[in-house]
Amino acid sequence: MNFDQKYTRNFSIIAHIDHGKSTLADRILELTGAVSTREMKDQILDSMDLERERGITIKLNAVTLSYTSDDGNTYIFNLIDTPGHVDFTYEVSRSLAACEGAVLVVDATQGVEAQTLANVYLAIDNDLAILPVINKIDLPSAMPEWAKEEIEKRIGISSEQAVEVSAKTGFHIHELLEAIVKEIPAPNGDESAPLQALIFDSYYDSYRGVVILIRIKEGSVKVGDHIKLMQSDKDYIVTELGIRSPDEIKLKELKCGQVGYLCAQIKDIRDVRPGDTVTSFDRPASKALPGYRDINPMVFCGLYPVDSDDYQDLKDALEKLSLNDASLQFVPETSQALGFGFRCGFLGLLHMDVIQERLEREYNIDLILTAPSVIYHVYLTNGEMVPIDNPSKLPDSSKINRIEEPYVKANIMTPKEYVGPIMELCQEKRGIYLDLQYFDDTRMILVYELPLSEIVYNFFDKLKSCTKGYASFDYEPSIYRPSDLIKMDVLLNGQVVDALSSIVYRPQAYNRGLGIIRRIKTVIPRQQFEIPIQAAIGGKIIARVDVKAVRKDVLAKCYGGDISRKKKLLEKQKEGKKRMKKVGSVEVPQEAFMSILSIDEEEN
Amino acid sequence: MRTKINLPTALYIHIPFCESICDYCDFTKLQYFHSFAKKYLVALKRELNERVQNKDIKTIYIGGGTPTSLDDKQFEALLKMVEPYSKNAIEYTVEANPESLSLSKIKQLKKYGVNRVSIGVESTHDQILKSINRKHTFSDVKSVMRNLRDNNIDNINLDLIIGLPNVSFKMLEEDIKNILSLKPKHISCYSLTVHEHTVFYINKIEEPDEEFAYQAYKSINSLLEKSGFTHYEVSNWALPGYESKHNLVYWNNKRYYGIGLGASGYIDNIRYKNSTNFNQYVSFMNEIEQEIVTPSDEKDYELMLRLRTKFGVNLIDYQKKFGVDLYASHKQVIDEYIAQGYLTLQDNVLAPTFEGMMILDKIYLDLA
Repeated sequence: MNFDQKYTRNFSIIAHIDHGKSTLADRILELTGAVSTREMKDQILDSMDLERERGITIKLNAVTLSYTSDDGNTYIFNLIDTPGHVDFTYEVSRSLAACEGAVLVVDATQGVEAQTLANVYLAIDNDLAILPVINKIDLPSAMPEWAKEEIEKRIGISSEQAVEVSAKTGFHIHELLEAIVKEIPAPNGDESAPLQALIFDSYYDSYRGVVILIRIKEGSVKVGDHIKLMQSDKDYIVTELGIRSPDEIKLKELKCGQVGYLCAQIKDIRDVRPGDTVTSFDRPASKALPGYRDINPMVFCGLYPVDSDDYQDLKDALEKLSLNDASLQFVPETSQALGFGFRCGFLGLLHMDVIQERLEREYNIDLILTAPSVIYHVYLTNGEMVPIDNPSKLPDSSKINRIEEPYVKANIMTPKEYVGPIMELCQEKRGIYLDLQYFDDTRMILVYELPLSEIVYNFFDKLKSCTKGYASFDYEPSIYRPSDLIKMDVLLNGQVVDALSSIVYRPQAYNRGLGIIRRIKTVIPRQQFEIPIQAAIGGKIIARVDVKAVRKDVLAKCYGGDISRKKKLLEKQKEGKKRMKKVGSVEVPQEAFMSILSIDEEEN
Repeated sequence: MRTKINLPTALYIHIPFCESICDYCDFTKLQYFHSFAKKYLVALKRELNERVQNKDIKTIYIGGGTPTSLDDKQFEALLKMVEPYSKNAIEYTVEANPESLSLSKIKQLKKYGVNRVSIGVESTHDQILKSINRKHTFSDVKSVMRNLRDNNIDNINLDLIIGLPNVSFKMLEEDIKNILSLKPKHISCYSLTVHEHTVFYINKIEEPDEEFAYQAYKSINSLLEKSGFTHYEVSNWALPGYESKHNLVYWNNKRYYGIGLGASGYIDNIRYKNSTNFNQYVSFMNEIEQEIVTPSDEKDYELMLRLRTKFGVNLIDYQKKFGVDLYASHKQVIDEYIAQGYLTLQDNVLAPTFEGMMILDKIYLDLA
């Protein structure tokens, strides 16, 4: 591929989850001949198994394609994929910063959703050209004209040049490619300027060290060049350059406007911060490119191996995962109940889920996760502030002056008939009302400030159930506010189980406590003795339920054919038992630790 | 994959026919028709001769269904086909319903060397029997017992069901007393299990509440022990020396032949189950389900089965067989169970107490 900026188009695809982004990306890949149809797995950009299973994009990916346009010229397309989930918003901003344009996918049956809106605004902030695409027009319920109207009314951009496509059938994908050539501007860097390349992603490769994905904004870089990472102030010699199509193609040089990868024998991925600028060591750029905002984990939980012998394996696995996921944080911690493990920080609940599944699936480690917590700011009477991410570590109440908790600003888009129930829900979740706006004649946007702990708790499920799934939701961190919070302990068989402690809002403590212990009761296997489960605050029991003793648990008839059948049943139970942790004399399954999240006050 | 083990010396034969279908039964069974039974016996004989390589069988059990639902001629044919295998049998049991075990059948039993009979009594209250679609009365049981004894068949088991609808605790205790008055050698009491595709399931009859079942077993056990019976397996009691030798083959994890529709067997390292499709079976198209028992499976089976009886698991044999020191590897759990009175460990034999037998599934899961 000969390279000329004029014939290059760098773009991302923005879409709400389920609006067909990955399918569209696949069609584009097919039509540009990047990969033959035969080699294609469904949704090639979602390369992690988990991504494909869940139909979501987690890590972003970039691919270089070549397209011969109707104007007779051959163009290089760099398609940079974006994740569609709120946990991964920061990844979206990374992708966008590497592009000149964004293809905005709107479902012809669903219209514009809150998540799309958030990402379009990110794109507009990045000065990107936006090319609207109406997808799924093959569906009988498609309303392309209405969808276009949505784009104009809600986003406030013209939908005149919007392309109507069906990613599923491949309809009008050619027209879309032509529109990309026409509507998305070519990069316009200065090849002779000092090197400025934006790092938008990186991953670890055991042979080559860190592989950095870059977008060259100014200048060029060659194999053998002495480079410097401006923010981390480290310097390296470039050992390999290339593009991914999606298989890697090695090149001697990358020039401004190009998207590709760079290797320089970098050992530690922590030195490579997305958003950092690569420049020349000998002829550095005068200033770095604007970086991204820092990514801070928002949700924390304890991760423990069910079998304590797996501790080292878990440590190795976390280290490996964090090589490719700078947002995953972990530090060792000890729990009286669970033994040795790690306190891990995640971007959100989905991120936590993904890491858990990867640890279990790829590394084969049975895990116990404690309920996720946020970081509380605990102000002591001596004026000191301690951040607490583990409820069991909360200092004694006599030493606490006040506790502050993180709030988020939540935008909830909903058909207007659900505004009442949502406001009720937000109120119940200690929300602070900020704003209510009409989005169009049928939908409204509610803006609330909510404690993050309530979001982590069961806000999503509640929101879904009170709006029949019609509301969409998006949030960003806002500020810390003082709250009336206390630690609630759970006692099993008279023993405090530290991993079951939680920090709760005092006026709701009794209901929350009862809800938690009732839920725990349903998952604790019965023992030959009665097990009291108690909720306590400051050593005072506020609620109690009992798990009845097992009296009879045996198959009465066991002859001939019963034997194999019985063994199979026991085999299944044995599998379930593997995921239990013995705490004192009581066996506690994984679900018990999560019961702190899933309880429903209405049950009380 | 197949490993040769000593040939089985136990033989189970299944007769799937019944004159009427009981409301709770989920065994492989069908309504008796003369022509069906005729075809069935042909297929059965063929399977018997093909499968059973060993003529030196020590225990035989003909169960069902209701073996005695066959007419006298067919019944004779059945016993005759088994004859070549029964010469050395020390225990030869036939299952029977009180109403179909006629005097003529009893004479046939005697003639062919059957020395043990198992009778489905289920309840001694006639109104209860009627309500679950059983066709006999308690007085039928009495007369059958008399006839058997007159013909010198004295090794008799009586079956009882615990937790039938409308049976109170008091009635259950009466059942035990009534049964004891008949002086059987062996008593089996099964807590009712409601299976899919039974009248009970369709009518949403519930299994007895755990506490009721536990108290019932406990009370039955104490009544029977007072009368000299030993609780030797979860649901079985016997006078000394009258434990079922055939059933102990199952619980000792030994090999056995299983012949007939839906019958299960264990030969070499394979546990199998015959087709339950009657038409297939009688057309000699017996589709067999097989489970290959690995050494690790066998170890689990051994524990699961042997812990069902008071004879328990000999830990030294267990270690020799499987290379696992069960006590060393599960010391804490075992010690706890012993301290709480669920298990005993004497002369290297780990065995359940009455209380232990009641929660065996849990104990097994803690030890496996």
